[in-house]
Amino acid sequence: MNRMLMLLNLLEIIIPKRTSAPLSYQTRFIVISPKWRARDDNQASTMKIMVAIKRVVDYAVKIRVKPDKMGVETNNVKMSMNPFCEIALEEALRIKESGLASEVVAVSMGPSQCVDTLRTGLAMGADRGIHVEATSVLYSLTVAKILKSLVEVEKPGLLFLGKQAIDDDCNQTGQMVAGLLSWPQATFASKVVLDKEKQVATVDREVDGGLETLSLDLPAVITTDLRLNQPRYATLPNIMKAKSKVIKKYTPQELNVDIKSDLEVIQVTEPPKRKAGVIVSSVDELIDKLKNEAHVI
Amino acid sequence: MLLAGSGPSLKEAAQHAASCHPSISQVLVADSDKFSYPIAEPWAKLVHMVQQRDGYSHIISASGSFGKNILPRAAALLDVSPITDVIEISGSSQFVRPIYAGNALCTVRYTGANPCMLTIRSTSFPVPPSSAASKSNEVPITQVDLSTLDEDMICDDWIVTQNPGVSRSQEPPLFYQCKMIDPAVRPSLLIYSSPFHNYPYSHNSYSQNRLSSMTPVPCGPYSLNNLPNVYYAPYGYSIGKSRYVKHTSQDAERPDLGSARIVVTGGRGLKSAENFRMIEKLAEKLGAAVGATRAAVDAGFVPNDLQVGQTGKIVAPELYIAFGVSGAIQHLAGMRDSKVIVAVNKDADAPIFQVADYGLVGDLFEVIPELLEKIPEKK
Repeated sequence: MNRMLMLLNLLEIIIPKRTSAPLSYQTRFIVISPKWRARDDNQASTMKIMVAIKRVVDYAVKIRVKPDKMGVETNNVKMSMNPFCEIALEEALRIKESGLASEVVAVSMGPSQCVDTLRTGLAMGADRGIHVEATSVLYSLTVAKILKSLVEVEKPGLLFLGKQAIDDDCNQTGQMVAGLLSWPQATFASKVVLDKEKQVATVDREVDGGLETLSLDLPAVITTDLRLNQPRYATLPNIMKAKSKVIKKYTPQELNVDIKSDLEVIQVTEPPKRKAGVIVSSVDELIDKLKNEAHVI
Repeated sequence: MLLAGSGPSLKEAAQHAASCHPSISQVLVADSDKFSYPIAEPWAKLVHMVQQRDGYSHIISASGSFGKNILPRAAALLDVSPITDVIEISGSSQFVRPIYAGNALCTVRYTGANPCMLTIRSTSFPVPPSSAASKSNEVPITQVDLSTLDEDMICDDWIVTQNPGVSRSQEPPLFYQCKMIDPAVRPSLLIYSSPFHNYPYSHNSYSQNRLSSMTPVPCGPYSLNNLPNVYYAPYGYSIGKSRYVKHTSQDAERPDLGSARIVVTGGRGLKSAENFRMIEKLAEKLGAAVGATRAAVDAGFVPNDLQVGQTGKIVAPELYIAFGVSGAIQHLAGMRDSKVIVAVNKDADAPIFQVADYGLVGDLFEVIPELLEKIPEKK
């Protein structure tokens, strides 16, 4: 018993002096001293990473244009996390697991169902979620402004986004939030290496005709390309754990962002159908057609 | 037309631009080391500066990796919504762009203030022939005054206090790491931009208050004692920079997948990485780029930078030849804008035949060698 108490004292654990009570009862009074906690915090990295994730029509769904031509059918359609956002989240989680960050915060904005997407992110391993609830259409500029406001609240050292969403294919938000924050940016990242000492992220970017390597001072914005990593699947225990993780709610108004709409969708149509081709019967016929009919070789 | 860069090659490019098309009325040239590399931060600032000075109605770039990197950032600085990947211009503020990887086309109207900012998909517009007549018609080349750009970049958002008289002994060491910005030029400037900072009591209100106050303590060779005027920035308003490290270009022998005139693609039907060499050989003979389906990439036949499709590269070559490709919608989304599509597959019911101009039902292991033999050498 004495030995046990000594050990606990060594760990700076304060135990009330009721030695007659069973040990299991005593342990309920354990208090961790501030001194201990401070030391602990000094050793751990305290960088936070924020990841923006978007809820989109699942990439495997064949989309249908609405009959009124005002958009694409999203009712009764499977929705998922945008694949590029999954890659962004995966990269943030890997950085945290390597000990270079302490917390990963996932952010999503849009209707209330975005919470489902956030839960998926929490099940993958994000620590917390933030949902900015908005029912109107959010264009990239508004999303970038909301993210900027959240960055000012959360103060992350890195902001990850997918390079684009597979619904509107805009490829803008990361660049825009980086501009609004005056942070350095690296888009289309296929490799990210963090240097904790120098506070620099070295990023390989997939540019036309090759790879470009940039070195960014932190804090910075990175948007992820397809080849950065293979996102993990959420395991059942983690899905259960995610249910108790916190999702904080905001409205754009609370973040002092006006929803700006300087774009108007006139119509959404199906792309022109390709006219039916011909089946050729031999290689000779194919070469002949390509040469003399299509004039492409 | 705005050209930026540095050195003699810029001058050459400006002279070429001045006479390349009769519609161009002026060439602006920004000559600075800052523009030696295509880094988004200075380029976006430049676009912002030129727009504020001259007030254009439209700002357009090609939607390659360069334009997509820079234009949205500049648009954010100008507080306007850019429009990406325009494939048709139907009016001064009405445009058509693909969404859902080209599975739908969206017509949008820009209703905001000037400028209207676009990136356009160059495969959707014809290249105007450069006529000899326009050569004589040279337009003025104007140097952009960059004197305000520098200042702008450093002082835009962040100077907050001067000489606040904080010393290490007075304040708890909340911020251990601070950055000196360009000590050679401005030794009195110091900025806190440390997301990795270690400080005690990280999760209570005390530190939260401290974080938003502006009292960082410098470290390293500099201390407050030998810096007369120290400027601090609140978190996030750093002027951290991007530095260009290198550019690794891919195999120069082969054209870039995104801009090649001919693309030869292999799917799961190739069965192995060894067999994929046949595709490479054929591509070489045609002077074509090599593509692959996600299935071929996932099976490990080829590296994933060759993937054509919704989540890979989107291509629109003059000739697209698909071998052993079934034609999943995600793949079709990446190549449906090709001018001529050829499909070779032994399954006559493969969906790829529905989009192909020329289909050949047959075993690709017989067809490819035959093609290799019979296709004429490229000129």
